[in-house]
Amino acid sequence: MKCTILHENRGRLRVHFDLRRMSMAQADQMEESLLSLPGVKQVKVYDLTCDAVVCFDGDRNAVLRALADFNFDTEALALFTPESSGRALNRLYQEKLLGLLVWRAFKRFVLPAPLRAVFTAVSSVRFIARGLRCLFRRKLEVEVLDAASIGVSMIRRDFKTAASVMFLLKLGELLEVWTRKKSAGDLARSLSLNVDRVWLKTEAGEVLVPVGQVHPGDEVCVHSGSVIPLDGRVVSGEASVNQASLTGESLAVLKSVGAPVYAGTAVEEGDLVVSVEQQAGSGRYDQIVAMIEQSEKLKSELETRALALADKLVPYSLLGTALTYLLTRNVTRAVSILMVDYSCALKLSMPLAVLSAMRECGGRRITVKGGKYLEAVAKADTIVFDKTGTLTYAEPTVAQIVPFGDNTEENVLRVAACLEEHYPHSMANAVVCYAREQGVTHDEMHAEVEYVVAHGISSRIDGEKAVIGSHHFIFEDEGCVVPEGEREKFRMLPDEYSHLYLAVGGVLAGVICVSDPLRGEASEVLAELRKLGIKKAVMMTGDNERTAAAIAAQVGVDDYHAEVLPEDKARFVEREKAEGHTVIMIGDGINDSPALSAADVGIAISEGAAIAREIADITVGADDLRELVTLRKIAAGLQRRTRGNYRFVISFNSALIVLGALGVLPPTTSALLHNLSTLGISLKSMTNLLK
Amino acid sequence: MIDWKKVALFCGGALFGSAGIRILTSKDARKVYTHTTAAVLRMKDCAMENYTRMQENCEDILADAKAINEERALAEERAADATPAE
Repeated sequence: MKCTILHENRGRLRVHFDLRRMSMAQADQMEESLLSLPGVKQVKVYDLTCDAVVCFDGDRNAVLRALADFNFDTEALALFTPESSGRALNRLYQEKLLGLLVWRAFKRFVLPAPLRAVFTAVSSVRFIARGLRCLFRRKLEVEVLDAASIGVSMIRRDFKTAASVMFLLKLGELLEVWTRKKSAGDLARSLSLNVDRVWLKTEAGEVLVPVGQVHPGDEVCVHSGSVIPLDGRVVSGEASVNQASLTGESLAVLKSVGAPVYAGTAVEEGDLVVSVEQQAGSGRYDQIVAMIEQSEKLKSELETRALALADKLVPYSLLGTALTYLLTRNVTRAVSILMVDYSCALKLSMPLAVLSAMRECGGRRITVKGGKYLEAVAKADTIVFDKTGTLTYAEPTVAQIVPFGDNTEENVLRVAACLEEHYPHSMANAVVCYAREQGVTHDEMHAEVEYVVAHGISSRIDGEKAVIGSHHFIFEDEGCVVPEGEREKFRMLPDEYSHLYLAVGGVLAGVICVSDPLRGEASEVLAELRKLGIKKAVMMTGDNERTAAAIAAQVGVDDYHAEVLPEDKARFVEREKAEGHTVIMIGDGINDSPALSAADVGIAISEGAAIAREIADITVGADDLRELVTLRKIAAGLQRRTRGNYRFVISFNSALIVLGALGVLPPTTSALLHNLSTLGISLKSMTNLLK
Repeated sequence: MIDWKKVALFCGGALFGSAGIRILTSKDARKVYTHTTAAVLRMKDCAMENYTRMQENCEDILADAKAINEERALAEERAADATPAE
């Protein structure tokens, strides 16, 4: 596309495109495609002026070439919905804000006084009506106070004060609704189904297809640990489905043939074949937004307490006004007090602070589902880590294959890859990747596959039972044996790797040694967290004792538990909670979900199993454990800000009340100061907590 | 004697009631309204465009300012490194 450079800097380029106009969908598409270029850090496309700003690291010419070569993909444009980015919402509220400001300026500086009075009177009706409605419900809330202050000003013919109070109230309302909707939208977009490929059931078996190609009437297979991608009805199979993302209940629901299932819910245990009823669309997004907006449980404790107190103070404000009038017989002084109230500042700034903290986390690729979880992170003194995928990179690699009996390495690898293909455990991925690298192919030579959580996978191949999994599973549960004469080989298996045992027909066929390197930053992150107030760090893993001991020593946790089952993890978390600790649980796999639900805050590493991401309260981008430290700092910052807001609002407004009662401040000034301070603290609450 | 103001108000009211409303809602008047509204919307778009342009320019200035400060800091660092070495 033809473009001209408007402004240039090292690493930043602003260009103007030779277009008459650009639609919002086009701007979004351009942003997406420019962001995908290597070296590009940040892109902003302004559709109103047809300009784009690109911040990049590296080759300027490559960026220029990409800009010149760019063309809109008209087919893809049709698929863009207004919710796919926040652009439409922001535009709407920007225009509303502009309208409000222009209208106010017009009324104040252009309109003659009598007309102004008429407009003020007409607008005041809305506020007074709200106050009266509140009174009729027998509640003394901030609406009554607002209505009283506006009403009294009108009666005293103080149109200027009434107008300015109403303007500031409307401005505050607008900002609040905008921030709320924007935060809900950003959150919903990050929580929105990140499934893009599903297993479609065809005559040829299960085929992996992009979710957009699935039509109503098609059948989709969903296995343990995966997320149900689309709304539909169960055609065969049975599974326990966790619908927490939809209904909030943490107990799984059993779904069998004929039961409806919903997009975004996760299968905990079992397999389902679902007949799709609704194609991929924006339904999921709307569900999340509704959930966020209605979720009262997501308010943090400090916030709820502050808001409750704010409401309780309203009657005292009114009482104070009446008292001042009676004592001083000075209407002006009494009215000054009426202009000041605690609740509107608290009610406005607290939610804004929480939503802005959530947004800041989102900017750092941390998705927080509610203010109460940030509070829990700030208060926490105990952390429980999962090992695989959390303390170690989620990419274990196959180091060695030791075959037993008549099997060759290739054979062992083939069978193992065949079995492990369907499951989202990181060890399974390692085996499948290694098989692919080695060029070992495997057609679907097995029958139904059964996944036993945290233990292993079992199936039948050529009539014989094939199992793959942990030591406990293969030797104790399934009772397999080591082939004769190979016990020495078995004992000599290298210790520093995790072992995956494969047995066919009850006899050990091979052992796959998987190395799971520890994350470089793990120990320093733990040290940082201790400095920030974490007192106890525990590692829990289903892996064997030796590897766990080695890792625990390296990382520096206070305690570790190996060969743990998911229920044990949850039980440990509950024991800690019973002792009065606030517990953070971090995990990435299916076997972490009970513990994630049990903890005060469940954090999922976002590269892990979809179910962990759905159940968890906070999802962290998996690149770096240091994001945990950032999260803790933001949470602590939010607590400080909330307490600071509280103190400021109470003290400042009390001072205004006292000054008003003493007659030092006329009502206009006290109203102005009160409303400006409210706005000021609200705007301040919306700024970033960390640099 | 005769309060002309009251008479004027009465006549005005009568006129408004009979002919005034018809004129205000006639097709021509409606055309005027639509064109005025279209003009107002154009003004709004223009205002938003100017606001966006202003925003872009401010961001340019900010980016340039940050770059200047960074270069200064780098130069100072280099000077500080050079002196102890001597």
